[in-house]
Amino acid sequence: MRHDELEAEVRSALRADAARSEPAPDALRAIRSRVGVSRAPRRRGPFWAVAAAGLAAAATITAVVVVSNHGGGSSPTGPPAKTANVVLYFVDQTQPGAAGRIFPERHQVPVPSGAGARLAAVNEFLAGDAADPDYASGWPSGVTATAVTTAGGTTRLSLTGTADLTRANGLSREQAFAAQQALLYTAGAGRQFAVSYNAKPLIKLFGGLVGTYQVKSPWRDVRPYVQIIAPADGASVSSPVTATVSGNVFEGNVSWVLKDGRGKLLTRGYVTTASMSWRDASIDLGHLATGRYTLTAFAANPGHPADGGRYSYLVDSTFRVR
Amino acid sequence: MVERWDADEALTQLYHAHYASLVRMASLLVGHGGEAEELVQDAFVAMHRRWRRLAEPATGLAYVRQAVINRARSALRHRGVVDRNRPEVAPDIPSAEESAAANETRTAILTAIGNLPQRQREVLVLRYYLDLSESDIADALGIGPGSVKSHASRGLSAVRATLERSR
Repeated sequence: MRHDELEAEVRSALRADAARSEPAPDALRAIRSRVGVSRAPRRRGPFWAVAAAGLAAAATITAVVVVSNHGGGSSPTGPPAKTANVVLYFVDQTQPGAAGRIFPERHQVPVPSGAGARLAAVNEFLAGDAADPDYASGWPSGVTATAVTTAGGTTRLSLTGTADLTRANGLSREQAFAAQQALLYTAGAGRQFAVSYNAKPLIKLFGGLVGTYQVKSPWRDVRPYVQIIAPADGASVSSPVTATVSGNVFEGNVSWVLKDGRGKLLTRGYVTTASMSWRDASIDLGHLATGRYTLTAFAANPGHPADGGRYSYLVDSTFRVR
Repeated sequence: MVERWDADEALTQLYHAHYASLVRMASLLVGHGGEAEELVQDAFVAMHRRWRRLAEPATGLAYVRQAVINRARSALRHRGVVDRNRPEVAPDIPSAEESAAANETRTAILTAIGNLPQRQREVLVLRYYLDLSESDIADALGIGPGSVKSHASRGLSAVRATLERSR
């Protein structure tokens, strides 16, 4: 069979198979009714009830929060999987000014039999499937974790794979640092890590030397410059709503925008946080009707030059008013 | 001059133009059933939410595509079973219009694609079902154009080998 004939056969087979799926006719209505929701409802478990604890607080807790049996596997026919609610840390692929910072994201991960939740969290991280496509692990594909253990103040992390981790893989120095730190923050609460790759100590990583013991940087060195502490993404709150934004930006000015579930601009403003350090600021959003809203916060004057100077460090939170 | 869409308009336009093909693409990745549709809807919801940062139809479509692929991978991982990532193969029932031989070929191809490593399968689906360019596939999968070529080449070679064995 010639190459073009093989391609034609593959194209024909895929199209015939795909044609077996007939999308529901009322899907647009279903999407519109959910607009403003950023994650699949199935990912929301009881964990979201405590989500208001805030992202900064989440950074200080271990990756494992709750292990439960909620059938978190998405296969409708598969057996209920043991799942764990974890916090993963990702790097932002889209805003150069955010390089060097890591962004917490809550995930519900399946925990295979015999494995720990931290191992499952690390593998979810290494797979790089952030709920927000702007985020990524920064690690190349084909790397998996086989063990995470903590003893004597050191967390040992065993990785295996085929990727060459000594090369920069296109990462800038700041991005490489963030990718390393994102792994360490995802792997656990300890500060010192010994990482092996294919049973050898991982001393050189992404073009730089990291040493036998890798150290988690203080949170201030990797913390996002702008964060929405409350309402947390996915939270359900009562009206009136007061938001809390944390910022460390030029002159402390953080701009914010509130939109309803259909993306309509409701109100906007700015608050003063701090520069050279972080400070929280409150935003009184007032009385809001029941429904979904998205609050976006960013540094506006000026933004990071690498982001074109318009705005940067943009983050958002979609929440529900009961 | 290009008209600027707001988030609702973008959702409506991209939905009508691409929803069905994205659901079918997702079904090739995760199998037929409600799950494919659910994860495409999730991706459209996320796109709507992010519209201010996307702003352009092409960027919005690329975002949705990438979000569907990410969610498909996540869904497969959540199944946590050995054959988690194999799409169902069409039932072996020849239609009036096609010969049994053609149907056998199709079944063999789909089985071979279902047995490919995830990345190779994704590349073949994006290339031969959605007809995406190499650069669009690279963007959607977060890999380089060279990797797209090598995954496509390896995937096709595996399909060819399966076909030759089945004859």
